[in-house]
Amino acid sequence: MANYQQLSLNHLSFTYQHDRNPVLDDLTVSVPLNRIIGIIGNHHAGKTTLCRVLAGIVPQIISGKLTGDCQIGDQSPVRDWPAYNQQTGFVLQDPHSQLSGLADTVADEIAFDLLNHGVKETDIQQRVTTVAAQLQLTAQLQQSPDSLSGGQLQRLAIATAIVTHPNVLILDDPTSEMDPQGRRDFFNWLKTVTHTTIVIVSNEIDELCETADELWILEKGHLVSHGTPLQVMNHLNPEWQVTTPMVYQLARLMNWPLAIKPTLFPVTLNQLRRCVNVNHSNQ
Amino acid sequence: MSIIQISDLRYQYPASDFQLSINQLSIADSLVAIVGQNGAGKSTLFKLLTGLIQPQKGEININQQNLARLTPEERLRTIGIIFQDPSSQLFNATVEKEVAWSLSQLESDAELIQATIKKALASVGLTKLKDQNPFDLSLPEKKLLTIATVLAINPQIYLFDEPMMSLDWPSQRLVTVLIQHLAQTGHQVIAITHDMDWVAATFPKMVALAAGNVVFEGVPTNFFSCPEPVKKAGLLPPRIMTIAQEVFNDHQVYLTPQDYAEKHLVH
Amino acid sequence: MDIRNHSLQKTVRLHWYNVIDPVTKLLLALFLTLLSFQLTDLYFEVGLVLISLTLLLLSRLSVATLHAVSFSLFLIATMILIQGLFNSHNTHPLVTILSITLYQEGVLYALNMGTRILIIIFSIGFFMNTTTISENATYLESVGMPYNQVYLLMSVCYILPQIQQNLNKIQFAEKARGINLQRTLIQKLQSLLPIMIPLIIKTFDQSINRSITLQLRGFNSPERTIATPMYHYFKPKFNHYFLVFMIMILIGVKLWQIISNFL
Repeated sequence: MANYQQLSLNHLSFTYQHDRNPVLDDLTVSVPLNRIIGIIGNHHAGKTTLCRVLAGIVPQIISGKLTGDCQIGDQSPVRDWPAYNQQTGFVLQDPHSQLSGLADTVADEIAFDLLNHGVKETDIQQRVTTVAAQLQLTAQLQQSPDSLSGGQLQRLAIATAIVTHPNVLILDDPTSEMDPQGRRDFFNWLKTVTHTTIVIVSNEIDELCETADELWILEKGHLVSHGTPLQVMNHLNPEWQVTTPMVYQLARLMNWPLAIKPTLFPVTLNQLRRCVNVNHSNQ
Repeated sequence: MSIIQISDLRYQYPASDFQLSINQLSIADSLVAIVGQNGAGKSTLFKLLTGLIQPQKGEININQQNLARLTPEERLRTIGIIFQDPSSQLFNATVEKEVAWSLSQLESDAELIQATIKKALASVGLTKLKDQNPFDLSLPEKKLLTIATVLAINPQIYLFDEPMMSLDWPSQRLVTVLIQHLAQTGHQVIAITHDMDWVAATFPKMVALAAGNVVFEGVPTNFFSCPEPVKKAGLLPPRIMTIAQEVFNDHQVYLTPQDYAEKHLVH
Repeated sequence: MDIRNHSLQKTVRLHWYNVIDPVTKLLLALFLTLLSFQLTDLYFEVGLVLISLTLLLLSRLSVATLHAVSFSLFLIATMILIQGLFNSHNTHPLVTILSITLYQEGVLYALNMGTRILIIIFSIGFFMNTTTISENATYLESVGMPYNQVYLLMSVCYILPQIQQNLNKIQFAEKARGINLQRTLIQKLQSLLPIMIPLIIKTFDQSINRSITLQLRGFNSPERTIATPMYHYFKPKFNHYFLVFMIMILIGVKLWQIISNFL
């Protein structure tokens, strides 16, 4: 029987039209809803395509051959489109093409989705203000979207995606153009989001380990590893050529394993703190 | 080894109150990172260093030669530019032709061109893809290809704009090795970046910009040793320092985990 | 707090041209253009040029319009020279400078054409300078045009600045690769490719991405709140009927002239 409280992929494969080789090959995994799932992998891993499947872009808008099943809660992006689309927010790699181009101000750009969903004007005002405050765009609300920097544009793209209160939020490399401060603020914000299943592709392995509940590693279209960041980072195969968070690198160099499980090394600051306390008190 | 000398430089975009203003800056090391947050003036300085736009005031000299007065050929042989976005410049039918096009702007000896292309493609690991269409490459591969087009020309100075951005981890490592190799073989590499961990691990010298001004130039250890200028430039210290501060309340300067281990394991 | 652009109108001063709706402006531009082609008398044409110039000057001048005007003035000057020298109807000399004679007929013909060009530039410039893409879109939607059609229509308008932006970036990148070293004409023509290919591919990519996100953002959703016009326009219906009526008359007259030639 299907479990409606989880995101699950079941033998999911996808091949683009006019393409011979599958970009995603037999992915099977499931995660409870309302978790943060981090996806890592090198180029040609299929990360963007997986985002597109989860957002329903393939095969709804970009065609290709999809086999297997993808189920998020009680809906499937394939069978329940467009109802599914209404509850999903998606942020593209390129923030420039995320914008409608028809808005004079940042406020109007954020309101675009709400207008499309027929939300009342008073609610729109309130929601736009809230979202802008969350993503530190309040000062830019009356500016033209053209005047924003790359990092601000990415925050605007995220704002447009979350203003509709989606159940599922898919973020394809959302911090590539942000500076270090902006990136840290973004991941701090991400931790505060509740009641949303978040799928995030990123190269920021340190931040992913801090924020994600689940980490998936894709390699040439295969899901080669999945689990908690702690498990995944401690069982890497060198062939995948995946980097590790600095906390982990440091703990390995200093030989500070976890107190409760000495075969594992910490991947977050909190884990490191705990095992260092234990190590220090032992000395 | 080249010396880049910037004096009394002023640049302002039309209809903007941002001004890049550098009174005196000389870049004489083989590996230099230019850092700063968004809007600090990094990209403007990058554009000026390409020699393709001219400052309203002041000048940039490379080995006592005014950059503005170089002929296009001289400029190509002096400065190689690797842009952030590779899709703005690729247009040839194959990877190999893409590299050949750059070189054929300067050389006509077909044999020499062939040999150079081969070497350039090999050093970025794209030899296998030489007959592919550049547009079918992944973003990291495209970026490596743009690096190969510059390697083929072999200029004195390599100017990188955010080279780590949109690269995956193996390509990041490849580019780092490549940059170090270039610096060791008598070239000068200047990289604009906001990846502080990369700066700390790779660059012996750095320049920090904030609001259009140079706020620091020197070795990274000095920059990160005082929190004030780092904060003023809107930057964060290398992650290893944040770890040391948050976990051990240790406020010393560490550049990499190896650096930390060396300082602590000896005792 | 009112954060969306309804508040903008209260703070920003309303100009006279804000009370004219975009369609009226467009029809007016069309009407003036057709009228200039209907008229043959140079004095009337000059009158029309002055009218459209006044419209433009009373609104806002943009750099783009100035460029267009200066380019068309250059075009008109060459036309006067060529027609004045070589027009097949040239019989009456107008002026002779250094043994080169300009003839009345050719100069008049060129002036006539020139005034038409100016009328088109001025009246279109008036339309472009006084409305924004979003105002047009909002207005069209508010008068009942389905939003996806509005979007299709407007995408033509915003793709141009986007192409311009891409073009600047690409030209800069290719210049850095040494494209300005080309010397012969054939090389120069070939050097268009490095600009055109990335430009087309990039713009195409962006358009595809944009169309995907628009669908994801539900732009053609049946629940969409129909936009209300940004400004309170002065008698838009009357203006449309009146201008369409006048345009029909002009077209009718032209058609009658053509038909009567055959009779």
